[in-house]
Amino acid sequence: MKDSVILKMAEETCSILDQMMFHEPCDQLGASYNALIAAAQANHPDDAFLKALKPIQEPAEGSKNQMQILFTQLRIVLDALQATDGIDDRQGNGTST
Amino acid sequence: MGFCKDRSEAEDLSQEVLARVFRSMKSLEGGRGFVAWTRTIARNIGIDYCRKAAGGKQFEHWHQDARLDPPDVRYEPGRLLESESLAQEVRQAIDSLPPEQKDVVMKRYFENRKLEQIAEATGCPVGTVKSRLHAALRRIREFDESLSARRSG
Repeated sequence: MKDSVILKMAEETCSILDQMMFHEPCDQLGASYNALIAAAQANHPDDAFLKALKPIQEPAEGSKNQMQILFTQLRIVLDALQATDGIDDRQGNGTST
Repeated sequence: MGFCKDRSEAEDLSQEVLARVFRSMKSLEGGRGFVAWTRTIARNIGIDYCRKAAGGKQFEHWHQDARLDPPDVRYEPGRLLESESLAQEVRQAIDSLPPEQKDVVMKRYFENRKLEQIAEATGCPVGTVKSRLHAALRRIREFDESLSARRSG
């Protein structure tokens, strides 16, 4: 999965989480998060910061806020990696909308 | 403005609605649909406010949730963040950014806005927003790298 797809999916998940009420369950997002970090790590196997992102238990027990943090963190780490490597321009992803 | 935290914020927003109505009055042809038009302006300002508030709240939670005490060894996001401390490092990095870069990062990642929306909100061209975001992301990355290097060294 390309970085641009991972970022797009993470961004859309953040938008959905944004609209959710605090009490709504988001346990099904654990699988999605795990798949996205696995894909990002597969694209950049040597990156220490991506390696620091660990998979979470499924179904996820975290709150909406915690899930938002995880997905936002993934976005920032991956976007920052691309900004540093300068690959956002080549792949047309990263900081694009 | 019932969603505001306090009266003064509600007053500020009301003032902003009135100011925008006044500024945009020329675009309202013949004064028709004034109430609905004003309501739309108020609604848009309200949405902007809520987004901003939610973004700030999420940023606060980032810090709080990353510091949850782990009472047991169950696998959970909050504890995971604490164990890796990456969230705290990223937060520190964001805090260390120049104000205009931090503002763009907050809007992009914590308010989930598109680049075009950020450009509209800040009154800057999309290219400027892009370059600020790019510079901010580079700084975040460099900050984290230097922090890791200091720790390991």
